[in-house]
This record gives sequence, C-alpha cells and structure tokens, in this order.
Amino acid sequence: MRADVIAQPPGTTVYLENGVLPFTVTGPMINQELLPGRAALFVLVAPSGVLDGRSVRFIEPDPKVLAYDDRAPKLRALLVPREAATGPGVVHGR
Amino acid sequence: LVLVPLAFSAWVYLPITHVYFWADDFINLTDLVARDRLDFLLRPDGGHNLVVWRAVCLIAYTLFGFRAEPHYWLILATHLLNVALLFVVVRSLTGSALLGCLGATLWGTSPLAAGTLAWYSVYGQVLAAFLLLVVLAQVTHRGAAAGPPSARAAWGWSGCMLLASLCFGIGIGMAMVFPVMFFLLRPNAWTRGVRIAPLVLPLVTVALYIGLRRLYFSMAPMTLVEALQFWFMRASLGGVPRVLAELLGFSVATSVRSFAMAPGTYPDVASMATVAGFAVAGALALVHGEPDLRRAMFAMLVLALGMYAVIAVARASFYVIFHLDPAALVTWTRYHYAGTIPIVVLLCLVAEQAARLSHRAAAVRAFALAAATVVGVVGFARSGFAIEDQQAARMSVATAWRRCVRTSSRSRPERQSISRTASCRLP
Repeated sequence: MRADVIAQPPGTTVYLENGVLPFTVTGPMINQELLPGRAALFVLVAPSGVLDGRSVRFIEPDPKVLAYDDRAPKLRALLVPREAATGPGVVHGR
Repeated sequence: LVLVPLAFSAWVYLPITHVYFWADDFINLTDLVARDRLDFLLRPDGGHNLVVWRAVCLIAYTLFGFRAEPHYWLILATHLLNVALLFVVVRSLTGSALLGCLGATLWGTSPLAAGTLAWYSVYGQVLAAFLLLVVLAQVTHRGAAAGPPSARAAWGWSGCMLLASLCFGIGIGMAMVFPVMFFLLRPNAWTRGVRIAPLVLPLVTVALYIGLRRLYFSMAPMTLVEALQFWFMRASLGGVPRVLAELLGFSVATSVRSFAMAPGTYPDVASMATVAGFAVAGALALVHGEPDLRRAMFAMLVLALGMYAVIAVARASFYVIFHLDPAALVTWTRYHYAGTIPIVVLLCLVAEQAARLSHRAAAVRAFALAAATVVGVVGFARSGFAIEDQQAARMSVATAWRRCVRTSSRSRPERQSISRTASCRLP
C-alpha cells in the first residue's frame, strides 16, 4: 500500500478508512459524532488535509457522523462518504 | 517558609508532566485547529463560558504545539503559583506564617487536585483559582487593611473575578459571591466610590454569561448537549441541596484527612466524624471567635457555598434524573480544586482561633503544622497515590497517526515533524 501511495504523483487524493478511536482516547462520554475517528487526530497535524503534497480524506460510513451539524469546518472537509472515494488517481488505504 | 508547601506540592504533582491528552482534550484541540479563532474562543462547552481559558490554550498551543508535556508543565507552574498565593492569603488572615505553611501544604498536596491537574480540559479551573487567589492575596493584605482600598483597586479585583467566570463554570460562583466576601474581608471598603464595582459584578457576570452564549448560538447551531444542559438544570433544582451538602462534606473530609483517607471510602465513619468535628469547631469559632477571624470565616463560608452551589446546580441532574448516588457523584475529584481553597482557609482560621485561646499560641501553631506534615507524609507514602498518565491514549494516537502517515507520506522530514508534534515515534 505504501508503495502504491509513493508511486502516485503529488496531487493525488488518498482515502483512508476513518475507523473509530478506542475507548482509551475517547473516554466514556465521547462518541464518533463528537470525535470522528482518525480524521479528528489527523486534523491536528495537518489541518489543511494535505500531507507530503497529497490530499488525505477519510471514509466515514456512518451518515449520522457525516451530517453532524456542529462539526469544525476543517474537520468536516476531511470526512467523505464511501461513494465519494472513487475516480482516477485515487489511492485507498486502511 | 513558602518553600515548604512549594516543595511538597511539586513532589506530589511532578508526575503530571508525563500525562497525555485524553477525551475532551482532543475535542478542544480539534476545535482549536479546525475552527476559526473567534468561533473557538466564544464556543461554550457543557454550560461553561471558556473565553479566557480558550485564549490561554490558544497561546499555549502557539508556543508548544500538540506536545502534551509543555502544557502540563504550564499547569504545574500555575498550581505552584496558586500554592504560593494561598500561603500569602492564609498568612495575611491569621498573621501566622506557620499556618500559611500548613494551609498551602494541605491544599497544594491534596489528592483532590489530581482530577483537575491531570486533565488539560479542566485547566480553566486552575486559572480561575489563580485569579481568585490573586484577588484574595491583595484584599487580605495586612498593610492595606489600615484604610479603605481605592476605587481603582476595587474595579481591578472585580474585573479579575469577571475573568474568572470566563475561565470555568466555578468562576461564576466566585464572582456571584464576591461582594459579600469582599465586604466581610474589608468592611472599610463600604464607601461610595469603592462599593460600586463589587456590587455590579454579579449582574455583569450573569449578563455576560447569557450575552456570550446568545452571541455564539446566533452564529452556530446549538448542540443537543448544550440545549439539554439547561433543561436538566431546571428539572433538577430540587436535588441541589442534597448534592451541595455532599459536595461540602466530601470536600471537608478529604481536605482535612488528605492522604490519610483511602480513595473510594467516602462516606465512611471517619469521614463523617471529620465533617462533624470540623462543623462543631467551625461553629464555635464563628460564634465565640475574635471579630477579624469571624469575618474571615464567614467570607470563606460564603465563598465555598458560592462555588459549590454552581457545581451542585450543574450536577444535580445526575442525581435527580439519572439516579446516581450523590455521595458517589461528589467524589469526582475534578469538582474540588478551587472549592477546597476556602475549606482549607477555614481550617487554618479555626486553628488560629484555637491558638489565640492558648497561652502558648506559637506552640499550638507549630504543633498543628508538625502534626499535619507527619500525617501527610506518612499518609502519602502509604497511600499508593498514582496519577493516571493516559499512556494508553498516547499509544492509540501514535498507532492512528502511524497508519495515516505510512499510507499518505513518504517525506522523512514531514514524518519526523509529525512525530515530534505528537510526542510519539513514527516509522
């Protein structure tokens, strides 16, 4: 997978499964809507959503999480539904 | 003598510098980087207006980035500053550096502080306590007690209390009772020019609280949690006295017994005996004590009630609606950082009153300090006290980042930069 990514030219969009953060990170009161998976951590180090010249987006399968209306704008931009992760030059990762 | 409480407090709480972020910390940090500045600053959370705390976070994030350690060093430094300020306050109120040392040590090392100091999201309470102690240190300053304070000073102190209300919810309680506390501590301040600022402070605090929330929610949607917060509060007012009584009981029992009290034992017989003893001694000192100490005791009582009433109003729903045992609810230590300040000061004032009744006042004060130090050190050594450092969260975050970066970045400098930012090693 890494080789696939490296083979892509800068400007490629990389789609990663968003996943769910473990209880050790979220504690008992925070759910996926409030802290949506790996995207919530990724935005801390790359708020622009661009890493090493490649756009990174996170595939979030839950429509409720995608539709959450109090989402921070830069974090919202990182989350996409699965059907959006298609097209030429797209690299998927887990 | 101030070095004694500072050394003990640093000894107990130095481990917080290894704590990692957890839970709400990630939401706050995500908001910090992913929202625009004004949105982040004005954003209320869980019923708190956090403008000042968020401004401090913003500055700290600009300086330290996402590495946890410097943020926790900042929290420790603020706590130690608070310990030194409490020493000054107790020394001013009692006239005794020994009792100042006792109060500051008891509070600075209290196991109750762990729940606040070891969680970045609650740093606002440490800041609110700092502002309160700055004001108390000046209001109680002995040299200034000869004449009334200037109107300018009164406006400054009231302004500090207003800022405290924007650090954390408990600051609202401080600001609401500040006029009563102020005129008890400085009766000579009841002059025409001076009294205006303290008297308008509660009104301004409420207006600012409501105004800032309305302003924010005119720009952004109100979350379900924020909307429910006030509905729950209104529906649970009947449970406030019970929760308030339990909060005060636990605060007294744990402040006095400190490390001699095993965690999870409240409300045991020893705790109840401690609370009863504290109440009787306090009542006797309030009725028969010397005027300056009585006024100070009333002021601390009002301050404790003000701060804990805010928590009781906010948390009574856990008891009334969710049927949580109030005696268990109040043992969440993060509720008690600022609230235990007046409790410890009260204890020192009672000790000072006892000392003044004796022919050997200095010996009584020295004995109180020595006994508390021995009990505290032995209790700490036997307690197995440990701070939750959230290393599991650090590992989970490192794993999540490793996956993102491995898949999307081949640049070694970029990986190293993220690794440094995240305080973790990436491949």
